[in-house]
Amino acid sequence: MSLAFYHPTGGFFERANPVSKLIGLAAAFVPPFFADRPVEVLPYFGLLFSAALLARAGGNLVRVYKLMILLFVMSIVLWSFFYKGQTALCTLGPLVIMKESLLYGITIGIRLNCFVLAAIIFLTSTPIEDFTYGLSKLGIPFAVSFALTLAFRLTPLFIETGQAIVMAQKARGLDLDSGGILRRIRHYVPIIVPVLASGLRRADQLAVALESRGFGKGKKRSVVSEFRVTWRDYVLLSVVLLAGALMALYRFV
Amino acid sequence: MRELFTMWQNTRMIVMTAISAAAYVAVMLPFKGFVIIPGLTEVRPGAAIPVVLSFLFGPATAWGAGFGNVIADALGGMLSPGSLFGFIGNFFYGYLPYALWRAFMGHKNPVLSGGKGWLVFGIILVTSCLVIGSIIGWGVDLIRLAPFGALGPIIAVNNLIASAAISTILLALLYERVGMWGLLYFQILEQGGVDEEPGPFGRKAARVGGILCIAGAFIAFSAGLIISCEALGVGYGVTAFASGTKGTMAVAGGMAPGLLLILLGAILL
Repeated sequence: MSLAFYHPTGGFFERANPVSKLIGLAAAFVPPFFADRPVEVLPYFGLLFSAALLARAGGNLVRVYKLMILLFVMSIVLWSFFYKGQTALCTLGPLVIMKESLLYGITIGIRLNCFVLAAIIFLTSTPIEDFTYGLSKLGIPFAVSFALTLAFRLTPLFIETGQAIVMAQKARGLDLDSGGILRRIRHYVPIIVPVLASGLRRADQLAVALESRGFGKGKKRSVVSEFRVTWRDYVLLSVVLLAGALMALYRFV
Repeated sequence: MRELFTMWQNTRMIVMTAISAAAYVAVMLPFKGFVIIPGLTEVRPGAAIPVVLSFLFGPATAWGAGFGNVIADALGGMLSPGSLFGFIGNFFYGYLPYALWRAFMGHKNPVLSGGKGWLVFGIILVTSCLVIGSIIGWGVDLIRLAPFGALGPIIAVNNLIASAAISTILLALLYERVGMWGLLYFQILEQGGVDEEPGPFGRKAARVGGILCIAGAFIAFSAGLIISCEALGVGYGVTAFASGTKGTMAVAGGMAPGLLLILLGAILL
């Protein structure tokens, strides 16, 4: 099971400073909120899509395209049916589809997909170490960013353990798909308990290993790789801020 | 609440934070649950993990549940502004169970505490689920991604079903065992010389904090439902989608007093 979106390409985004990428990601989430109609948010979607291709995130987009379609369709369906517009477009049985509702649903659907694209660009071009380096530089204490890194690293191991336990329990006759809702949830107990028990065993070993290497004793920590601010960071942040400013101007002026 | 910050001095608690986060994601992501609305919501057994681990690892689970949610979003390609509220909501979902239990029941085993214990345990489950539904639903409504009337109840009910179904079984199987290994949060904190007594103002103030949290959870959730679904003249139910969200701050403002009560209570815990 492949979990990580990151793959090394050495491209523009990957070589940008992780701090700029984190700030850029946060800033990239803002512009879609300035749009209330599909035509207002579509150019930004196009910009992010182009950036995703530049980041060589095509493979990851293929991995998440179903999610993107689902978000878009669900958004249109929900808002079309339940947002009260004024101009009737068509009727589906007892339901009247309003033009404003449909347009708003499309806007929110594209907005959600903008978030997915921005996240995919970031995740494709940023390894976990760079992510936590960025968090540290933004003022997150080392212990916190270390715990987050460790959790990222342990997750695939835990998932592998869980899948091995599922196979073992199924071989012993565990049926995860029968019964009502409560019964089906309870079927997971013989899986969750061994997963947690193996986690606890790891926790004890990890804590001993960390302490034996003096974890938490030094106040000033060094890092393996330092990142400098380069022209890439200025370009990245300028493009995101410019896009946000243009959309805000279009909306409010 | 102090231990949420002092625990970062303890290596074992830092590791427990990572373990809690990884276990949460590992049970949440790959094991699909019982589908309610395809593509929108399903009851996942993983939703019970923060409640169970909260009783075992205390403050480490609060941070772990928050991190776990962010990791799940990142691994699913769904990092978004909503992830911030996901972090805060899950943080409280991992924080309240042990903090409320400690305020009212001390360090008793949650599954061997008699009738009063079961009552407190039930109230804690409902409160925690209402709080996570309120916080995430409020945040996502505030930034106009989805209406509270839809998302808040879905999150609260999903988590309540999963927690009610298996948290007691898991605790019965794990609590004593983890205690024998000396890995319960208060054992680790005491070994590390960290004071883990409830609240900055003692046990009585912590109990007041607990009551504020419980009241705040019900007030915030009810206010969100009423404003999102009724005040705009559309009645209860799914017909309240969008109307309670687009172009109004009514839900955000109406829920604010309840959320402030939760925050105040959490500080006293």
